Amino acid sequence: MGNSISKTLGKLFGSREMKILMLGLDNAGKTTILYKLKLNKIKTSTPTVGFNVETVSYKNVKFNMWDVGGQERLRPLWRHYFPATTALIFVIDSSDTERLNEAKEELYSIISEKEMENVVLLVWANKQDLKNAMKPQEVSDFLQLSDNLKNQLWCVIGSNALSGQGLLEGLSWISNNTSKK
Amino acid sequence: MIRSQNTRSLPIVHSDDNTKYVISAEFDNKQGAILKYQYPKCIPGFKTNTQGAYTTTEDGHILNIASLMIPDSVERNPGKPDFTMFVLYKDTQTQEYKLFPTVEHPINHIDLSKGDILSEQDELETTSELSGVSTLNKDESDDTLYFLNVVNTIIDESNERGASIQAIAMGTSMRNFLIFKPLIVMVLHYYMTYPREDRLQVLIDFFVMINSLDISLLRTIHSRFRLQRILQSITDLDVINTIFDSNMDNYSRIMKFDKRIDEDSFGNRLIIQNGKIAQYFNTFHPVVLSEFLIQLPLRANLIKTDPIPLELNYNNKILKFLSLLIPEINKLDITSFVRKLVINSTYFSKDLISQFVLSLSNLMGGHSHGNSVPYFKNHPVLFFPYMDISMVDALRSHIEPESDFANSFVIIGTANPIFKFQPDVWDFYYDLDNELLYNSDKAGQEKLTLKQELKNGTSSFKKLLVNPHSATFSAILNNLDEESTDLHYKNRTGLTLKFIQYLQDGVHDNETVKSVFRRICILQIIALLPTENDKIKIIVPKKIPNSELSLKDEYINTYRDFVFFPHYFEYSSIQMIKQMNALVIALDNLKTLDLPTTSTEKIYSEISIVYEIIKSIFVTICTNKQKLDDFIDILLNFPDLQLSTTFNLRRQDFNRLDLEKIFKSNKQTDYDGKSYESLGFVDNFIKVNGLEYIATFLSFSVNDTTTLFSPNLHLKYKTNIGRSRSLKNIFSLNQITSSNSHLEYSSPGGSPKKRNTISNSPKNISGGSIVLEKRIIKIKRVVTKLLMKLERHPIGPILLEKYLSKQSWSLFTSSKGGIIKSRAMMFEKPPSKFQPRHTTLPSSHSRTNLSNEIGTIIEHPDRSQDFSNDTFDDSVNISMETGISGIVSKANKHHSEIFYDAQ
Repeated sequence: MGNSISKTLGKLFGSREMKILMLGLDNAGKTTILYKLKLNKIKTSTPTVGFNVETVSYKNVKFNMWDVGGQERLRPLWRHYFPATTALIFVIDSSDTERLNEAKEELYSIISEKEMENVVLLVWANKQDLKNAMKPQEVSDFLQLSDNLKNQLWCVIGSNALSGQGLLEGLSWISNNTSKK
Repeated sequence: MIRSQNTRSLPIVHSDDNTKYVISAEFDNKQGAILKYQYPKCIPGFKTNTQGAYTTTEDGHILNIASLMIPDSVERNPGKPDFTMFVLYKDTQTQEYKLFPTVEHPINHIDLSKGDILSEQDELETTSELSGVSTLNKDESDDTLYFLNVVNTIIDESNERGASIQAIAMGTSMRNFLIFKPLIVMVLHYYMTYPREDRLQVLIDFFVMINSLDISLLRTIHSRFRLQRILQSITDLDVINTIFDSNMDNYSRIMKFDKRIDEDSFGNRLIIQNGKIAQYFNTFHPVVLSEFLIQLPLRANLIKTDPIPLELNYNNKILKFLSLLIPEINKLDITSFVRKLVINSTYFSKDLISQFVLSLSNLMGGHSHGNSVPYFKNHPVLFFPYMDISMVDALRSHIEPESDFANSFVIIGTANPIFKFQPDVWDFYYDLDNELLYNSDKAGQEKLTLKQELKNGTSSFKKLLVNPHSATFSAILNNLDEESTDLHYKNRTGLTLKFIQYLQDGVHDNETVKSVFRRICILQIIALLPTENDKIKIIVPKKIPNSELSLKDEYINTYRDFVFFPHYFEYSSIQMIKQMNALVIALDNLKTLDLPTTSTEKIYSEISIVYEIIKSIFVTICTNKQKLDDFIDILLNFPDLQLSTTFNLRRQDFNRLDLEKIFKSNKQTDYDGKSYESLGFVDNFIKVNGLEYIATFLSFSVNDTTTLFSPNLHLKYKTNIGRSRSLKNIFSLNQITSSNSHLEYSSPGGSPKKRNTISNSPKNISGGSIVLEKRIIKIKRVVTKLLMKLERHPIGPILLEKYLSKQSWSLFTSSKGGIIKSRAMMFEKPPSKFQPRHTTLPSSHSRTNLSNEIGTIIEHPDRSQDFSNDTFDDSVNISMETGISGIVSKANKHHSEIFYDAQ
């Protein structure tokens, strides 16, 4: 009851709520991004056991952001988080070129799932502050999204979780490219 | 298998290990949670490889036990240990352990074909309380292993991810595994701070340390579940203090141990004090663990408070949950009665989540026998104190419509709200953090009106807008009267739900909560007791067709209040509840007589009912010690019948009723002279009246019933008596017409059917009075013997002293003195012409006890004859046939008739 009233009020005032799933290999920076957005703080880095979920409000949109651990054994569990997802954020450590291919495989594994065929995809090419980090365009080219994702909206944005660079831009892109129903 | 390569000598580990396995896990930065070590060997069924241990379900799902040890979000509270609990079930065919029980387990101890009320013989065979190891093996076998796991995160700069997350767990068959909590936390501390190469040795030390204690004394005391039920039923602090006296005289006698004991069989120092046992690890010599650890004793309570003793306070979380869940269960159709519950919290500790689920298990009588709880239609209830999302597919397979557990009630604890997005595995999802209950049946949920939501308490608006006790709330609900009967029934507030409100308001402790629930259970059983016509359905459960509901199922389906005490549905308990119910009603009926104007016959008939009931109780509890234990349990929990006689508990909606007010208006004082006002409503409800009900007839005088204590029933109760099915049978007594009439009646609750032959008429006052007086004396004698039997129970004297009124205690003492004196005189008498012929017949131990009990010599090999001849027929005789004892010897009948001729 409380929920439905809140939704009605949200519609009246133009606010929206959506479930965002943030995935990526371990140590890509997902949790740092989440808490930078939520608290504008850098949380002490510890690996995520399971998940984190926080609500981030931006421009009348409530992003219920699910950050799921990226360790090998946790990846098969990602699919349990797919239901009701509006947008997928895939975070890549742009400086970890050795594992870029592994990240690409995981990304394609996710978006090939039927449950995810209608979600919009945002790739954050994270850790842009590091010297050896690949540029967003390079990451995009490596992922070959333009060749393989013809029917899905996607975007690659460079980000730096420590400074917050690219984060709001990413949320804004999601907000602008998802249904306002 | 990872085994210690350490060559250092280890102490001998005894076969009946307190812990069977110790295991450790850690969070690997690349892989996730992995199992690190298993000691002393791999848990059968959990394959190990370099990456840890897995088990694979029959349908191919891989389960990682480490994911239960390194729970979700544990990294958020560095330095703060948390606990998870999980259970492994042994597959009896493969001898391997599994996270999900196999189909054999639910029927391990109860044959489904026999129905769910055990026959007397079955009961003796399956639940006889053996002493020592045998009972341990039965109730705490290796078939079910409870794992207590502690996990912690420490900030570690040397770790590339900045933190180290480690866990250790111990698997034990002991249900009071929480006693190891303080110890395992400290061991984890050492485990995490020691160099990696010493960690396995820490585990080995821990294993050896726990098993260096002989905990058999504690385990034996805890395994005496009937005694434990009695102790659990005592809520009076002064009684507890008397039991746990400083000299240990009482509780060493009650719990049967030598009070001089100061060490266990392994030589460890042992201290028993104030109801607690403390055992020190004197014989343990650690290899790497700190010596500091061995200075701390392992402490445990001698009273096992629950099937699985826990630390969680039912108030307020459990009661809040029940207040939301019960209305929802009430709405379910019988065909969809099977429900899956997911309890989730991201805010509270995993310790709390696990204990929350286990508390629910306890309230459903869980783990009292076997691995899982037989519930509705004997389908098991499955409990998963903590579950990880990685297990959801295996769970799904386990409970799918075609599976063996498709009809199971499943309760799952989790710390991951993503379960909410898996509605196919739950019917109800409880958000513990926000106290919100979600129903997966969304269509049904949408149909709820605001009024219904308010009534059901499912809306958070209830918290904001309406006080359930307020006038506004009642006014809204008044409108519901117009709804259909069915809807009314499905939306009704049953007795349990009503009392939950009072328990929440009064912030009562766990013992009070459980006491209330036990009394409600008995009250509700009474309300379901069958009529004479369908009595056979209860007594002969083997004849119940599978499609028919048994009493237990009927109870669950009728009340739908979640809380359930399986032991009250055992054959003998049902009989005792019926007997006590009949007794209280008979006593009250007797009290209503205006003796000066009532005919002797009428009085005689009324007191004869009391006699028959008391006699049948005596016969029952003399059968064996278990019956006596069960009876004391029922006496301690027997409720005031005002509720069951005033209301139809099956259908009554208590929502708008102020029970407190109703009780207050009908209670002035009770047996110990305290006024109703001196105690609160709930405290009054859980007062122990059972013993006084037994003793009350001692104060009966044919000239005055005002001295007769009986439950104070209000007028509505009186008016309902006439409508009561069972009481109509009592009232049939009024049909006595003339002298020498043969009177047949069925006493309430299936108590004995008898035929009384009364030779006096109303006009023959003098002769009738003599018979009546003798009858009264006889009844008082039986009451006294019954109380003496109770007094002989190790805990009996304490209970009698506390729960008998001063008057009853005095009368009992005096009457007991008379009996003892007459016994002494009887043995001094020369042999009579009726001297028994078979005095040298061999008799069983129990029979010998019985014989000693009644102070006579066994005359006939048949046990029931022993009772009828020797116990009751020593002063006054009438011809009778009893339905329970069933046999009265011919000789005895003749003897009775001769006696009557003499009148």
